[in-house]
Amino acid sequence: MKILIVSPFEDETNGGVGIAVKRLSKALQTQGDETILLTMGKDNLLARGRISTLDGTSIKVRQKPRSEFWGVYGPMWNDSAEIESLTAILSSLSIDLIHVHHLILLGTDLLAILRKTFPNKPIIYTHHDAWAICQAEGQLLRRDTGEHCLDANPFRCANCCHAYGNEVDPRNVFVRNHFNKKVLHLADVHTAPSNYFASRIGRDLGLEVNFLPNIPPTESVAQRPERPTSTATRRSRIGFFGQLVATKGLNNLITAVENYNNEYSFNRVTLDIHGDGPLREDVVALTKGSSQISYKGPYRSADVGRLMATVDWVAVPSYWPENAPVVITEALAAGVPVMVSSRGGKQELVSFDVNSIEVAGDLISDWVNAIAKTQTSHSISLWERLSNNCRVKNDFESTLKLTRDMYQMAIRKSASYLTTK
Amino acid sequence: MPLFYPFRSFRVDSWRSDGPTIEVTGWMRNQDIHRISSRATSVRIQPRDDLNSETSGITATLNKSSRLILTLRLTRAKSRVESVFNTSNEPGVPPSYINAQGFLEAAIQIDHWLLVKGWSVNVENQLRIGGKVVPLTPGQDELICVKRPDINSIFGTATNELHGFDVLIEFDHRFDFMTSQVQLERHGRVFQSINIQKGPTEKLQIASESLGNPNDHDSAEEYFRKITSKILRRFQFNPVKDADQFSVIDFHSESSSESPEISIVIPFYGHSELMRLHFATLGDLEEKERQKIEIIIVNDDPSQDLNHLTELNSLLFSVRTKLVTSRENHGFAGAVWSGASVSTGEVLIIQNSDCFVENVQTYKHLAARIKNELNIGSIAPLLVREDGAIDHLGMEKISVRGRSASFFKHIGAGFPQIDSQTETSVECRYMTGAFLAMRRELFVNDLGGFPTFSFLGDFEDAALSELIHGLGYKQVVDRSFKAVHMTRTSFERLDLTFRERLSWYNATQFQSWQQNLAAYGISTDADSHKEIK
Repeated sequence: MKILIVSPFEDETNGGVGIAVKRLSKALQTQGDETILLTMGKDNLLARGRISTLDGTSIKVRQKPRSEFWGVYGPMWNDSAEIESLTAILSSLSIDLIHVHHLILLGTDLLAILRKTFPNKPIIYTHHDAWAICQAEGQLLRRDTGEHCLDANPFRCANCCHAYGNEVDPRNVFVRNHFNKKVLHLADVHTAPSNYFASRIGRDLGLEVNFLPNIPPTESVAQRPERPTSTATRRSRIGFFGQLVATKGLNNLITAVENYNNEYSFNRVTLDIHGDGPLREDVVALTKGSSQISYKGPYRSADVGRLMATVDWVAVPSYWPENAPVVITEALAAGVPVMVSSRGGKQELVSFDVNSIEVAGDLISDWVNAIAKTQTSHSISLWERLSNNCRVKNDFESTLKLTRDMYQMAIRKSASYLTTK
Repeated sequence: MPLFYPFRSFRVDSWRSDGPTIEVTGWMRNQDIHRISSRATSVRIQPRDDLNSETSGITATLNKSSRLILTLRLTRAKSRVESVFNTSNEPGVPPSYINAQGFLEAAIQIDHWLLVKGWSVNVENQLRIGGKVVPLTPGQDELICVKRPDINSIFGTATNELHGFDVLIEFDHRFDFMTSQVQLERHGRVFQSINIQKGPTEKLQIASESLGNPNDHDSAEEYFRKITSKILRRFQFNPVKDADQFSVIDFHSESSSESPEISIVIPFYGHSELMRLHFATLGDLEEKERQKIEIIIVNDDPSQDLNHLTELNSLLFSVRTKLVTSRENHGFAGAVWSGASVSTGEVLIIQNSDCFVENVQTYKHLAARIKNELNIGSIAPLLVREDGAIDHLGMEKISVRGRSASFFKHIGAGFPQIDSQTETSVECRYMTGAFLAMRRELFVNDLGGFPTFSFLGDFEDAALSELIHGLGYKQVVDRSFKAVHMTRTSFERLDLTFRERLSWYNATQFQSWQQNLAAYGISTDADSHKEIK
């Protein structure tokens, strides 16, 4: 198959979507499929024009201004010449299917351009977050009350945006969400990597959204990196991997570790923080001078297995109802038990008390209790049991097969539809 | 800021002769005091108990001569208010007040009309404007005489010879108002000359100013209707006369072989950003179905260029599109007419720019009903608000006791949808123009658009409903489909006071609709409405 993959992000630089796209592309190539990436390019690469086919395997369009994000429609395609130019490039491609992973920063209109250019090719859209119905970074986390948002409506959303620092007219929220809904209907198949999001997004957008997991890391259990022999009698090294942004809940985790260590000074734990993001300087400042908490800096996706082997637990403290965090599958693939709450789609990736520790909630005290649970007199046996059970629920082979089967079905359905038409 | 009577701020109450001087007392508005200049030897301003806080007493002392003139000049408009006193030198003869021959208060250009206001004491007085002569003779069609108790009071008389006047004079578009003056004269003798003020030129501004404030006791309902009807009539849309008042671009003229089945007319007056959502909605249709629909965007705001935006949206979502651009703002009725007149679909759908269907199949469903159920004159989906509450489930007429006015209330507005109601179709006496589906033939050929006696942005739909009802058709809200109506988005451009005035104006005008309807051969049943206090 020849697949056009559309995503504003192509690697781990911008988080989970980029990683998912990169793994999907590589996985498809192992099956002999050909992928072309339509993504966002950096301005300096595109000095000659707005659209470029720089390396033959990817088409890069200039990033829409971030200032447009809060506009009624978000970033828009307003230049007829630009649309025609992109249409001409895309039309020259012979593809079987389009798989869109996100439209943020690329512009919702892009889906209309794709539909117009490939009227008879199936378009699959994967919802990695709730961007289409949530202007608060698509995280369904109310910025005014801190609650998980269970009911998006224009007036509640305007209040939330206000707390987020952006004044938005409720009517604009209505128009934006209504527009996204209409344009997303142009896709033939909708998927989400968690049942939680499939259900929620499907309800709000009036769409049937299918569960389709992200492609996990390729490492099998036998390929797990060798874990350094622990010299201590406890498994007390906690690791954080991910973007350094507020909603990842790193602040709570740091405070919880500090509180735990103050309370159980005889039995301290350590926290290694890996990642990068807007809060980097804050994290550096917070960890400076601490012997238990250290910031290890950014990491490459390719190194994550090796780095996870240096910790005993991977903590996922994010307090937005995440969809399907890549870090969980990476940890399970690396044989590292996960500490995570049951909010959102996170719980679907783990089995509590089998390969993970359930954190009761998002409070600091919940995290202190969870840490304490890992440090009991039986913690060694607990850890070994959990680690031995670490398996990615939807492994590489089965997920890739599921994905390709869905592609084939969409292509057949599209062909069948054309025949009957 | 009031448009009328800008110089009503000054009034002489009394005067007395004392030796070689005459002392004149009166009052004026505080806000004009700094603009005053005078030929008087002294002018004193002081508060007076009998005046309100916005006015002050004024006392001017004049040297006695055979003819004294008190001139208070308000520099804002470079015009003069004159009170003339005849002071005979003959012993024993008291000074008497003789008024000037008349007085021009204001001359205001409104579009290519000139509104002159003032008073005149002689039927032979006339106005001269750039070579055009307008006799100030009561009874002329363009001359509106009104009782001006304020003027009579100034002269201390109740004489019927004093007439206030409001004259609306229409000029050629090429007439240069700014270099012309208005003169009050009789037999070639010029009493006064004033410059012409630039008034509002945008249609809605003009209407706002013209309508006045119905709650202001100085302009009683009858008075402001009389004054404004002249100007307002100017804006009544005449489909035949105004047929050449718009241009049309067909973005799919070459590719479209068959006529569409449905024409959707969407007038825009501002808020052009909403256009993309309409196209995105239609873009959701299969290609084959999409070809059966044309969208007609009507740009009713000549100051805005929608060409590029319309073309872009048409391109992005592959929708058959026409753009109709008005050369002047016609208001809702006129804009819809211009769109309808270039439509080619058998079914015509009139849709507000801030009204969006939830399901694109709504168009197809309503069109099918219109085509199959010939007793239906117009049909609409249930209109809801952004939060899902009902916005419109038909309208009912409500009369206001003590005022000759009728309003139309949206039934169920603001209430949550009642799911227990299983009835799909609800027959309604009045329908809103926010979303209406009709046979094109009925709207364009039989009715000739909205009734020509309807007016700006309000009540046209009720008037249309009267006609459709009078012709014996049913009007139906189909609850099985919904559209979201973001209420009165275009009216945001008007201030709240104007919206209130406009509604009141239309409400009072409704009484005269019955006569107009009679011209269509339709009688109304005035009994089928509720009454409120």
